[in-house]
Amino acid sequence: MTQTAQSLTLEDISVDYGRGPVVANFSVHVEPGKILALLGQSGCGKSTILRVIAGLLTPSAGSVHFGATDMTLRPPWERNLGLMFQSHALFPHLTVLRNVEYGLRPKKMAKKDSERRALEMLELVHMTRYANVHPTELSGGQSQRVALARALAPEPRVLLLDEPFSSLDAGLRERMRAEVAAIVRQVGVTTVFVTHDQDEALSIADMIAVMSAGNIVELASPRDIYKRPRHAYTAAFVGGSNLIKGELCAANGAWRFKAGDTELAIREANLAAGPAMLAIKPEDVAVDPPPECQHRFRARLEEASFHGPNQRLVWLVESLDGKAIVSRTVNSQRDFRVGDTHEIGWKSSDAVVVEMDQ
Amino acid sequence: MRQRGWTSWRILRALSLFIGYGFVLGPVLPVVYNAFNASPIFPAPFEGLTLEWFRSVVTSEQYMSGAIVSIEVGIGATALALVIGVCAAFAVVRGPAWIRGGAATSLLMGPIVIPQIVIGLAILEAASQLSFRLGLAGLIIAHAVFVSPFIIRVVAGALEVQGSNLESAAMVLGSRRTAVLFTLTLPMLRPAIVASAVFAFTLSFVNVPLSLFLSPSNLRPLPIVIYQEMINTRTPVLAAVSILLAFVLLLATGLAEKVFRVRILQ
Amino acid sequence: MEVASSARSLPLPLLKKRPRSYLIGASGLGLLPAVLAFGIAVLWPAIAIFQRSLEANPLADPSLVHRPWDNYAKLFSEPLYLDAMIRTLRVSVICTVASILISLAIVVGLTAYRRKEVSSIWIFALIAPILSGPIIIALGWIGLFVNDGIGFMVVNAVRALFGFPEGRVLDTEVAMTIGTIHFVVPFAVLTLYPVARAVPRELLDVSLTLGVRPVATLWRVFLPMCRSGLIAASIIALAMALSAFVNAQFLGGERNLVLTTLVSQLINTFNPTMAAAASAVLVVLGLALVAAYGRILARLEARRT
Repeated sequence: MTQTAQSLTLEDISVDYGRGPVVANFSVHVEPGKILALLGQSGCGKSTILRVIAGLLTPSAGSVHFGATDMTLRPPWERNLGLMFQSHALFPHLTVLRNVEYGLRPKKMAKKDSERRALEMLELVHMTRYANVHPTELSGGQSQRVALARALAPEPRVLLLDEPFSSLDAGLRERMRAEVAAIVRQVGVTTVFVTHDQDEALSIADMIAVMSAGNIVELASPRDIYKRPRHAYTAAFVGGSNLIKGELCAANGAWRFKAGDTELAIREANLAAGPAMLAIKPEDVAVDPPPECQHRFRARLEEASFHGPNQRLVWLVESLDGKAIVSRTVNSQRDFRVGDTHEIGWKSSDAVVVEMDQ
Repeated sequence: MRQRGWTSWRILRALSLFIGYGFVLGPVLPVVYNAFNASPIFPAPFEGLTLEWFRSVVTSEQYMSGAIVSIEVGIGATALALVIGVCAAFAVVRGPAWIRGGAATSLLMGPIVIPQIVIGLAILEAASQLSFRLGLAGLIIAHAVFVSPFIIRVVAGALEVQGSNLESAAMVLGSRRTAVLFTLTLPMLRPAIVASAVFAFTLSFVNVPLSLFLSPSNLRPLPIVIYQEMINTRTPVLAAVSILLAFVLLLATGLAEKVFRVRILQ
Repeated sequence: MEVASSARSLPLPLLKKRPRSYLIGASGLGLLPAVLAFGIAVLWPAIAIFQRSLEANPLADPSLVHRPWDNYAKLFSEPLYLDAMIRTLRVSVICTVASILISLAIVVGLTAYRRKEVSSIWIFALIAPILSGPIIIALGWIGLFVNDGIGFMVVNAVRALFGFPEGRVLDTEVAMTIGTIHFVVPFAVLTLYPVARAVPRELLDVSLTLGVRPVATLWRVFLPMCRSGLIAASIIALAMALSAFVNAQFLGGERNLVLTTLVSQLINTFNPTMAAAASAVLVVLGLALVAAYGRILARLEARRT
């Protein structure tokens, strides 16, 4: 499948229905053939951005470019897009084949060619057998495949996916996720997808834009978003980090983090000295830590819950003003009893200094 | 900013709404205009503003007594139709499968498919077989049967949406079925019941063909009075009385929406 | 563990009855008042009127022999009656088609490509004619159709366009047909509107992004999605058109009778047995047409899937 993937640029997009901005000064650039995930809770404006790219919503300000072409005021039917909704939105009155063929009709293709192209697309998603079936008879995964084939059939310049996997069951969701990601990469189309599910964003995307209140909090690769977040919001939203409030100080070329009476040595920091937060992932918190864990505290177990492969423990740390620290450890033979006091700790390299929320 | 390319759709929409609404509301114009026109002929070119025709409506004894008959029939028919309709709605939504399928549809379609003028005449025939003199009762039952499908439809819709979870919860908590019905189910259906009752009353109030053969000369509802006037003469008074009728009913509908906080339309 | 084993030792109750739903209304007894009322006010009267239709006119010459089906024979042979029946069919069919087209235009204009709910004023304006009754509407059409009224001019302009001579409009079949369409449209709209409103906006959005323009999207997605509403609306429209009375009475005049106005005229001319026969025919016609229509549409539906 050959097609020239195009870059996508949004500049200073604002959307305002008259009751305060839903999206304010949103800018992002996606390289040709890359996958961008818009990750955020419901109501953060991520679907609005998708609608703006699709042309289903005209922004109150800002511009949309596909490659070098200004698309801001172009209607959706002139944008050459593929769009896939959470509901899959297959046309119930058309067969699977006619659904996939739907977007080829405006291209003035010969009937024979468009049908062949549609069948090719169905082959790509392994749905050839269902060509003459009506969408009501398909399962969730199957209708998702058809929706993808339909979106990709007209060789779109940009593929847009709106919470594509949310309507599927947990097991199927993971399989479809891998399958869709593989197909999208094979086709090599520039893709933007919207999700509230961090796993989804981390596993598929090249870039993740973490969104909150109509704007990007942080834009980075999945690895950095997870391992090296810059903002407390990102740290808490992706991976559920423990956040300790305090102050970053620089002394003699070394970074230190002060929380109450406790002072911790920090490996590195991208921030200026001042109020900040320290983020530690629950899985990095060790109980009765080995010696290489430089940050160590006495803590009392407050709460313990069993989660199959691992267990979630909530500790109260006296020296951090009774701050609760969550740890997630692989289940061992060991049983912890609520009320017991243990030592907990983590490596200083696992502790990330992040910017506080405004 | 405005997106390009929607012009053809905008023109189509404006055109279809203009033609559609023009057609639906067009006939109201000559009535309004003639009701205030000084000329004693209907319809006539404009000769000056007057409220004379409204005055003669309000002071006319036959119009006023017609209105009273209409109110009596409307209230009676609505009450009866509510009993029929609300009970039937429960059966239609929750009853055995044979009711939910065939019986429900024929119940809803029956009075619509059978022409009202025939129902009126037929009830008259049935009563005359028993030498039974129909008074208000004939009018009330005919109107009730005719308006009950509208009540069934609205109440059944609300019942369907409302589901039965709250009732189950109340029963699990120890309420008896009758208590649940009167303290939970029916109060929750109140908006639907009020809305459909207002609609039913209005339909009954303006009806002509059902009442035509069922109204003895001493018991003529307002629309029948107007109808018989209209057969003989065409005067602006007719325009005035029908405007008054429509205005009062639309106002009452609006008021009911406000007072009971329900949506009668939709 | 212990809970499970002790439960097993409990004796099983003997279930003699089928399990019964505890839900209020599950028995279906709620249908009783409706059945009773329909029996008293529809079924029994229908039988009564049928019986009456077999009798001889009380005012007729008693020396003439009357056979039971004479009234029906007359109905199907005398030009006056035959004419009324054919006109009824013609007007109803035209009204059904026209009112579906008009209500479709209104509903599409109100709902397609809209994200927000339509203001209830728009709906109110459509229902207002139902709520204000048939009299005011008939009066309004009279006002429009009198010589040199707006309706008169429009109809004659259309007539001129197709090469017909100019003529009066009031008291013609044209006026009656237009009036009946007007009577039917609100009911068709009320049936169609909920269906059109429920068409998922996402389907239209997908179609637009796939390169199909708005008007083409209406045709290829919106209308097919409204199918069930169109079917229901056309059945309702047909039934309403058959039973339309007030407009037919005042706009069609004395010479352009349809079955409903024929019934009324027969009563006024003291011929109750013929009126009964015409009524029976009207009911049978209505039931048959609606049933046949439903059958045809069901077959179409079956062929499609």
